[in-house]
Amino acid sequence: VNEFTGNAPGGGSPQRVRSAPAPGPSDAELVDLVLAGDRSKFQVLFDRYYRLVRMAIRNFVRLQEKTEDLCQDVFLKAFCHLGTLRKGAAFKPWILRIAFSTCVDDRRRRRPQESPFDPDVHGQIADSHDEPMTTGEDRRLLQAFERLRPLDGLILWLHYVEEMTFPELGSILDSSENSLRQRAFRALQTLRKDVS
Amino acid sequence: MNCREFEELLGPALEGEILPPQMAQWDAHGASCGQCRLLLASTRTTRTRLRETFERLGASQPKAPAFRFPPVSSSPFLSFLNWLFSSPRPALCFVLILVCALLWFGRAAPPTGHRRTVELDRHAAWKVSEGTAQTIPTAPVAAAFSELTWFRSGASAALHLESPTAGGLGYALAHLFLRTPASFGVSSTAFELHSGVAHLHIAERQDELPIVTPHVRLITFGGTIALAVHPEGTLLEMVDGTMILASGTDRLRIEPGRRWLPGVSGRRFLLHEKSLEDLWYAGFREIRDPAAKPLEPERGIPDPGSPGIEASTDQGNLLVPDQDRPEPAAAGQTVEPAAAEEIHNPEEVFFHDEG
Repeated sequence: VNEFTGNAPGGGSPQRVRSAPAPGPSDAELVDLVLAGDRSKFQVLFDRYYRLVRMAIRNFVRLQEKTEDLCQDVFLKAFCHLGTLRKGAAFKPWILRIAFSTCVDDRRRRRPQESPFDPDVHGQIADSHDEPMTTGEDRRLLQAFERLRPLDGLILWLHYVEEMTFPELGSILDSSENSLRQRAFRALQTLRKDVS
Repeated sequence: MNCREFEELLGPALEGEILPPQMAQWDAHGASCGQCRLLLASTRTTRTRLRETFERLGASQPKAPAFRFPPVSSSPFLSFLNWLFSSPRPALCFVLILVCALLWFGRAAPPTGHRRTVELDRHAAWKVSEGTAQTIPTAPVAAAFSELTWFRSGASAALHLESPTAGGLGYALAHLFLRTPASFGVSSTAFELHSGVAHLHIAERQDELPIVTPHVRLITFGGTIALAVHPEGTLLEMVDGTMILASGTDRLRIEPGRRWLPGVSGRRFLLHEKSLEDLWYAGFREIRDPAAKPLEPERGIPDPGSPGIEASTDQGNLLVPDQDRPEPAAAGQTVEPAAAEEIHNPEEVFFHDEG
């Protein structure tokens, strides 16, 4: 391991450890069961990816109630179009892609009425992550994170927190790997400067 | 490597995406430059803090509520629609099957062996016979014409049909031959025959039509429709695209584009009460109506030899009348009463001379 960068020789980040697969049936098995008619199994998928989707949506929507509504909307779309998920395709990028397109559509719809810099909305940014478990440093970082552009924040979060690779991000966000790399690093530097 | 290059490669280096020789240079600069080392350290710290903060935040997120499932449609039809349009493939197959079915059932029937006979009586009522001489009354068409005016002037003749409602001759033709419930929205249709040119007036339209003879004009719609008009009554048949005319004692087969020499003029004919197919072989019988005055030559249709009337017998398409049939009488000549026995119903006379 390179003691300077923390990287392993020959590339690859040693810190990038995939989270262990969730216990119970795999996503593909659950999808098959839902498609076979067992609707209740979709609740398992919902429980498994609810937080992920919610966090992705919160990059675009700061309002709590709106986030919940969009989250339900994303899963409803996923449930209704589950048959279009290719056999063997991963559920996680697919649901994130739906979440991203839903957020983009939502922003496009409300753009005429609501400016992205609407103080009424952004006044709630500081409170949006006002969770009991966050410390003062966490709040400062989260506030800096909120000031990033929504797409930059999403890329940063998906790559550095959710440890998704750039090819995976490219398939979700319909963007090239190089541009995503540049945006991620640029956003990280912006965050660094803002926090420090 | 200078500080600017170090900063440019910071992102790829943290991702482990630069080659070892370049990485060695980058490491060497980072180890020697305090400012760059500080930059690297703060970037790594930010990255780590971001991850840790979001992991803590994620743990504090509320649990997933119950998913609000969409209502299940109880109707099997709605379930089928949901399945059909839930994915593009079933919908595409459905549309393709629908288009194929429409193309198959909507195709035109083959014309081979098809026989159609058209008759226009003095009430402008069309009678159509198809196949095995089955008469198909066309009451809507007959009702469409409230008045029939028949007049002629010199070498010109005109048939004027007036309809109080939408329809008219164009409607009749379209209805009979094209089998489409077309309506041209006209209240008057005039079919005028002048020497050399035939005019068809349908509302605002005025089409010049090809001429067959000064007495008989041919209208074609798509090459399969014909209308022949003769002052004394005309029967026409369309058999596989060939028009067969029966007028007087003449039976003529007219190929498209050829001319026909009329052999009769200035007479009245009676339509036998027979099937139209039989009628073709029986032909018209000349009658003598005792109540009617003999036609005057100057008021009748000019003889074939008259100026303006083409009297050639070329083209070889004139059928010689049957020898046992009476020869057509000259204009103004009375006919023997024996032929009058053939009358079944005087109303079946085709066209009365207005005089």
